[in-house]
Amino acid sequence: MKQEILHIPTPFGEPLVLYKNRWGPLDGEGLSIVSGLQGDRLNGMMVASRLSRFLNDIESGRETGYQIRGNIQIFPIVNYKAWETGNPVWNFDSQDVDLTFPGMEVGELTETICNTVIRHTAESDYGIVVQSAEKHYDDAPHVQLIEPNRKRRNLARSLGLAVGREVSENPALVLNLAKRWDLMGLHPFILSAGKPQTYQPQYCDLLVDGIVNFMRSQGLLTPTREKGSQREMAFFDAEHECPVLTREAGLFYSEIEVGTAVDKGQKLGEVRDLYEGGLLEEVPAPEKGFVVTLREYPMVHEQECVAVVLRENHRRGFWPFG
Amino acid sequence: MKTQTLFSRNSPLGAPLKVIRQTFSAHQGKPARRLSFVSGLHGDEMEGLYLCHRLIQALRRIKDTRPEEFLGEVHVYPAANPAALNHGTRLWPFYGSDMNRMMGPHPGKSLPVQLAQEVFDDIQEHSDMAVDIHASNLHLNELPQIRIIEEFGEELLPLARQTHTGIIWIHPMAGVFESTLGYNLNKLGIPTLVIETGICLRIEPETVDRLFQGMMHLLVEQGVLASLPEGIPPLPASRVVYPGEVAQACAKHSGLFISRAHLGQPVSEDEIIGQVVDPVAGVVLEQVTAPGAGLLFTLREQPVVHAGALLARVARDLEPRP
Repeated sequence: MKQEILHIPTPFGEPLVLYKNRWGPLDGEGLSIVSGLQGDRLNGMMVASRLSRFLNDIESGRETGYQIRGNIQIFPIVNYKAWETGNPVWNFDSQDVDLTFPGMEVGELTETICNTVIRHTAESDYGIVVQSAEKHYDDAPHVQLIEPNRKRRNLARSLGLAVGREVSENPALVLNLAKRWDLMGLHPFILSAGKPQTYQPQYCDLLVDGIVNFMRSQGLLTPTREKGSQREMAFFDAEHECPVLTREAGLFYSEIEVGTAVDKGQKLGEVRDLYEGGLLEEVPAPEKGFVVTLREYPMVHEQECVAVVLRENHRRGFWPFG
Repeated sequence: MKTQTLFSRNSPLGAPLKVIRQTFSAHQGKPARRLSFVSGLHGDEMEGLYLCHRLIQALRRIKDTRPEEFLGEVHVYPAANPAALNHGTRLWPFYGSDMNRMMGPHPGKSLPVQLAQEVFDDIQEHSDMAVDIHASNLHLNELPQIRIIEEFGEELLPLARQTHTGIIWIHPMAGVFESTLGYNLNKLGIPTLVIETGICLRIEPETVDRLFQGMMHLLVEQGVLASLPEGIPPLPASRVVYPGEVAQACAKHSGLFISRAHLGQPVSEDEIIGQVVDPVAGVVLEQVTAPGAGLLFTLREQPVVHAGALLARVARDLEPRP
């Protein structure tokens, strides 16, 4: 049920109120689902809304056949102020919320919001962030894992997505919600699908189904799901990611779809001159693999990343893209 | 002076994106010490650019008239993030990327990551010591200060004293520093001082003049220059402020902060330094008082505040004021 988690008066009008939805027994195994860390990632917000409706329907008896056994929370919107502007960050502080965790109990607004989310999720066992690709890119639906040990890879499989990917270590990761959860002892997962500023129903269907599968597999929802019915997932270590860079600056025309398998040397797209339209280069796949990220915005600099290919030959698990 | 381009990427529109390094080499043989100055990592922080201008101007004059004064080598990186500087924004606007959260080992290949890594590598390669110059953000005005993370205090404090900057603030470590230029250079054994001064999008020439004089002292103390140029006066010693000696005032209400104090003034404990007012209802929400007796070295400039926002910092007096 909808619960207020933060109430801050604003200087000029209505207060800023953040909510979470919560279902199930407080002493049950806990799952927190967070979306809206950036103000332009619509798929996550739509997934959160649909899951909330589904869980409300179970609780009210409209959706029969399920029972809620876990302590499930959904935080549909975190970066409230950025959502008001439709931008990834709030222009008032230019602060990426996902580089602000754990925040501060008493601090600037963004810090206070981050700290509130941390406090409300601290007792969970699992955390799921739902997001889209970064600005100018499109992501095939996949799950990202921090410190991907065997247990986490098994948990990730129950999310029902075909691709899992290790999140690379970097010094800024410590400011990330998922990494904070990891440090707090939760099992964190980041689900990414699609592109910013766009609602993509087919991707949201996949993510909703995946999260429901996860809840059933972990016994947060009953009836539980048969272990054997889990989908296979190809998992890729961070060092097996191949960023594809342009050689020339110009307009990038993609010739493939994100989420497809490609052969080494296969043409991914081409770069053409802005002023005269002439062909400057053809961009080939550097390896045989799976295109997990593809450039959406056509203007590119020299050496700009236009795709990320997950290299096939080092996959772990079943290769489902043949 | 030798001008070198350390990063260049052609743009689809025409003009390439370039980062420049200005080098003043030693007059003879191997440089005694190599010192680098960096500014403009955040594109709305202008004080550092003007300080670099003053340094380049003075060093050129010395090179032209008394080249034997150069015992060591000076590198100046006046505009480390040209894509943001060209738009006067903290972040690289096309990507929304904060260049000072991408330093240290980073696996990505986006253009901002490439730039951050190449700037970082170049400074590392050319420096025995560095000074990273920042202005404050949109919200706070700061007295000129050198900020030192506690773990580096022993090594950096003697170097910071050589700059005669008004305040040297030794503060605790926080996650946000792990991806900054200063932290990562210090971790690699290149002593790096981080200057914070003023407020973004503004230049206070007198303040920069004073910082410039301090940097000339540093160059002499470090053996990079043989002697102080004419016109550089002796400077008073810095005030060192340790973690327990800083008191903060934060807003208890959301509203407009109306300052009644001046940056740099001594204040008494509980002295009124401003008000938070409600512009809609026309009422005073709170009187803001100094959180301790001492020197007011941080003061809110952006008046719009939410509850919890930082309004002022005071470096506490060590002795009771008569």
